[in-house]
Order: sequence, then C-alpha cells, then structure tokens
Amino acid sequence: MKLRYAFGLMLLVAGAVVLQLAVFPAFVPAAIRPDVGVLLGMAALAFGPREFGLACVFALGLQADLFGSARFGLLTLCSLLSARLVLWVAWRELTRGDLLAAWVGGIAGTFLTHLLYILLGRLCGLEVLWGQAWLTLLTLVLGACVWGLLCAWVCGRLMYRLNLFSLPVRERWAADERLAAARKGKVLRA
Amino acid sequence: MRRDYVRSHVLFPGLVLLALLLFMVPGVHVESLRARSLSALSPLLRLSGAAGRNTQPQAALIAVPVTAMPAPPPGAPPENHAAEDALRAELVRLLYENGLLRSALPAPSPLILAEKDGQRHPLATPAGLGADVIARKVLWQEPVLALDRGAADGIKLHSGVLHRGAVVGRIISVAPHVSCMALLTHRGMSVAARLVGSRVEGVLQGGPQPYAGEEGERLCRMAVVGRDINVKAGEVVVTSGYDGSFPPGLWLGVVVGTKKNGDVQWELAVRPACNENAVECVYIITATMPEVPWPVMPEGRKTVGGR
Repeated sequence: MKLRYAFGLMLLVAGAVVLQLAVFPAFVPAAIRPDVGVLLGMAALAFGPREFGLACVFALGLQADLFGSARFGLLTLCSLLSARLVLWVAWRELTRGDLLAAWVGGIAGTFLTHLLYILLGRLCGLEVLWGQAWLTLLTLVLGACVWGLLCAWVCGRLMYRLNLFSLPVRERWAADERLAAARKGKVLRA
Repeated sequence: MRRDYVRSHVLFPGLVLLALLLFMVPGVHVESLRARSLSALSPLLRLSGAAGRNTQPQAALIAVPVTAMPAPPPGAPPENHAAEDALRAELVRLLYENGLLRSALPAPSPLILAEKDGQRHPLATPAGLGADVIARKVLWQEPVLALDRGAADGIKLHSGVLHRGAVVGRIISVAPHVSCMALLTHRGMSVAARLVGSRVEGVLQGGPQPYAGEEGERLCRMAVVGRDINVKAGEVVVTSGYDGSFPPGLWLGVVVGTKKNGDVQWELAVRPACNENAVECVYIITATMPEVPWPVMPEGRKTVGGR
C-alpha cells in the first residue's frame, strides 16, 4: 500500500473520531446522530480500491469499537460483514463512483452493521434491550439518511485530492470536473 | 493480476479473523486504551465544547455488557467482609451527621419582613447560642428536654428557644451547665402570639386542645378575643413580642381549626411549626428584652380607676 493510502486512512479515522466524539454530540440532536465511521467506510469502499476500502472499514470499525462498543471487536466484525454483504449484493453499482450510490450504501451499511451488532451481541450474551435497540437503529438509519450524502461528498473530495480513488472512479470524477470547468469557460488539463 | 486477485480475496478473511481476535483482548486493556485515547483527545473535545457531555456513539446504547457482581474467590479472607461492614457503618455515621447538620440549618420562615417606622425590614435572628438536646424525659405526662447549655453560658430562666428559626419552647429550669426546656405543647406553656393575616393578638397555650389533631398529633390552642376576627385555617401564627421572651415575628405555627366559645371568645387550634419529636439541636435566645417601667400599683387601690 502506498504512503498516501496510509495518510488518507489516518485522516479518515481522525475525522471520524472528531466528528463522532466532539462535533455530533455537541451540535446535533440525538435523533439524527449518525454512525460516521460506517458512512465514511462505505464511501471509501465505493470510491477507492477494494483493499483500501476494506482497510478503512476495519479501521473505522475499530475506532467505533474503542469508543462505544459493549464488546471490543464486535462492531468491527459487524462493519466488515455488512461491507462484504453490500459489496456482494451491489458491488457494480456501488463502485462506479456515484455519490448517490455511496449515500445509499452508507444507509444500507449502517442498517446492516447495527442489525448484525444487535443479533451477534445477543448471541455473545450481551444484554439487549429490544425496544431501545430498535429505536437506536432507527435513529442511526435516520442519521445516515440526513448526513450520509454530506459524508460521502466530503470523503470523496478528500480522496480525490489525495489521489486515493480507484482508476475508473477517478476518470469519472475528473471528466465531471473538466465538464464543469468547460461550462464556466475554463480548461482543465488532464 | 494474479497477485491482486489473491490479495483481494485474502484480505477480507484476514480482517475478519483479526476482528475475531479482538474479542480476546481483556476488558481491562480495552478500558485502559479507551481512557488513554480519550485523554489524548481531551484538548480537542474541550475545544469543541463536548467535554462533559455524553460522547458515546449511538451504537453503545444498543447493547450493554451484563455486569454481574464478581463472585468472591473461594477461600477469600474474611477481612473483605469486615471492610465492607466498616464502610457501611461509616456510611450510616455520615448520613446521621448529614441529617444533624441539616436540622441545624435555619428554616425559611414565612415571615421575613417586619413593619417598623412604616417600612418593612427583614427580621434579624435574635442573639443567642446553639445547644444540643442531651436528654428527654416525660415529667407529669409532659415531655421536657435537657440542653447542654446553662447559666454559665448566659442562659436565663424563661429564655425563648428556637428550632430551625421557629419557636419550639422555653427554658423552665437552669443549672450552671445544663438547662431544661418545655415544648410549645406543654400544658404550662404560654406565649404572646399574633395572627399574621388579621393582626389579632392572643395567647398561645399548650395543654388540652379544642380538638385532637390527626393521629394523636399534639396541637396548641390560642385564645383570642374579638367579635368578628375572620380567621381561616392555614393562617400563620407568630410571636407578638409582648411577653418579653421572644422578639416579635417568630414563627409559632399554623391555624388548623377555629371554635367560637361565646360572643367574643374564640379558641383556635394551632399546629406547632416544629416537629417536636425531631428536635436534636436548638437555638436559645440570650438577648435581653428592654425592661418596661410598669407603674407600681399604689397601696390600697385595686384597679387604676378603682375607688
């Protein structure tokens, strides 16, 4: 893995930690607070190479595990399994570099991750309060609907600037950017 | 190409395996790592104003670890139980001390203003000193409390006694270092009183009540003279200050019932402001009231206008 990927991974994890621990709890009501780690991980999976995406999902799941999981490792495992599930169902749609696909992938990833977390947590012997669990799952999905597009866009711009995109996605974003510049009368070099 | 294929297909199971291995990390290490991470991030959290808030991600709310009380190891030394008992005893002692200190706090009196010179002034607590109740005895079917202050401390006979800012009784005997007080409901007690709403004066007395209170509650009675005084239950009774023991405006109790004994005679049932069964420490008034030069009755005259 090239150094820029490691740098990008560190930036994503740091951003997720700051958003998750400082920004969202302070400024966003609990009803629409998303799981930023899953949203960023799914966006990285959608835009970047598959290995980088999976590494991002792992690292972001690990930070979520560290700061807010009842059983260390469980959230990481659930993130990985849900990412694999999303890739298995819709990898072609997800990885073509579309913002909308990353957004929907983030919502699906959030839902699957926490659904698996509830079920596997129950299997692991955690005390699951069902009403509260479903309510929290609902608020997380709602939060993903509200913030998912913004997270995907920010993650995409960051990865584009750091040149972390997979080749087809990079070509598509570059073409879009050239088109937008041409409409404003500017010419961008390839 | 072959290498990419292998890498892509090996990476996912490897990461899953790694996540499963994380399950085996002991909780102590996780807590330590979590604390260290939060400590490292604290400047950032403080900067964003999130410090002190619930910064747990939402996922933490879904499931919580089952926290069972750790079972004592077999053959654990009995010192653990002894330490636990000592802690419990300490807790009880602290709770008792806390209650004692709370009871010594002045209670908010319903009367905080007194009229003087046409203006209202806040009532000041009269000079005095605190005392602890050291004994309680029923004499002639009336409870009497012994206090740990006496004549050597400046206590005088008939001094007024307060509890949490309200009148609770009067000193009835004084020894050099100990004194005794009678409660408001004592049958020999008599305090000059005034109704706050109607401003009518009267005398508050202990002893037999016009009617019994709830569940055998001991009440006082207040004799009032007046044709139409318009007293209602709930009206506050305070000292009038005319008996020389208490300054005016101290809380005595609340009217709970009225009874008319004639054209101009009223007898009111008054519930004392203090719960007399919970008095542990009191405040004895030592301030001396101004002596009034009452005119001396001349020899051979029965009344002022008598013949």
